[in-house]
Amino acid sequence: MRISTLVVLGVAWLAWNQTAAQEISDCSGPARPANCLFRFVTVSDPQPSPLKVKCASAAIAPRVPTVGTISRKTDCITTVNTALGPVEVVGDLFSVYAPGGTSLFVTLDSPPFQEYFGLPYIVIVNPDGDPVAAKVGTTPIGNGGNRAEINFAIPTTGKWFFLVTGIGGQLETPAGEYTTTADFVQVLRRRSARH
Amino acid sequence: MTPRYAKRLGSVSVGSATVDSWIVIRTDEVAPHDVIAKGFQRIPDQLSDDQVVEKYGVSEIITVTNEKLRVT
Repeated sequence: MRISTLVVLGVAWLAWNQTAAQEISDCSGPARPANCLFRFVTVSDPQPSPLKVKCASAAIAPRVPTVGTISRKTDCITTVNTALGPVEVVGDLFSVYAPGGTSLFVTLDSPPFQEYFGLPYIVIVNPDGDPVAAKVGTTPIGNGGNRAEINFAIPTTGKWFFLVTGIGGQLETPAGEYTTTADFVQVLRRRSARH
Repeated sequence: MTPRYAKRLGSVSVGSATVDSWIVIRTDEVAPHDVIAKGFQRIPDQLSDDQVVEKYGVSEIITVTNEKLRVT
């Protein structure tokens, strides 16, 4: 079955199954249900140093950031271990040299059209290269109506990284089990229903 | 030139510094008002593709068909 067909079927299925949609929506609320696996994904087994993020493009902003200057690279990829196993993520890598105690706030909406309507996904990587926190949007619906937000207090002074992604089917296990974010969420929901 | 559009998807803020994340598309299939209705803004034709990529910090300008933009 073609991927595009799977996406269409997945979206139709989600729209039809209001109960499932409600389960997903509940994940964004303050009272996180026990079976909600994807509101805030705790990295259970951070990768060791050095930094595992690889980027295809050069930095756009200055290469040696000063305090408070945010740099960005595009087409970056890393793997984070989540409650669901390793997840490969592609996106823009931001970095900043920031004093401890600085607040970080990241928002990302889902792109507003098919095929690129991936889940907003934010990963915070510490100066040692370890992913320390991640936040995923709550539904696979496009139209820009899906947002991931993360508010993070930087604990120690150093160069921190933030991987921001969500465009295209980038959530994929090493085995390639999930080829689109819509499929990914469906599988999440099925697993969550079983547990 | 095929019309190009940009939409801000989010931002990264650290202290008082902010960097925005954008998506940039091009389409000659979709009516401009339909694209703008989805929150995109038209990019001036005077900007080259390279300038657009640099200005918005994107890795590519995505070609979008009417079918793709119709969405879910």
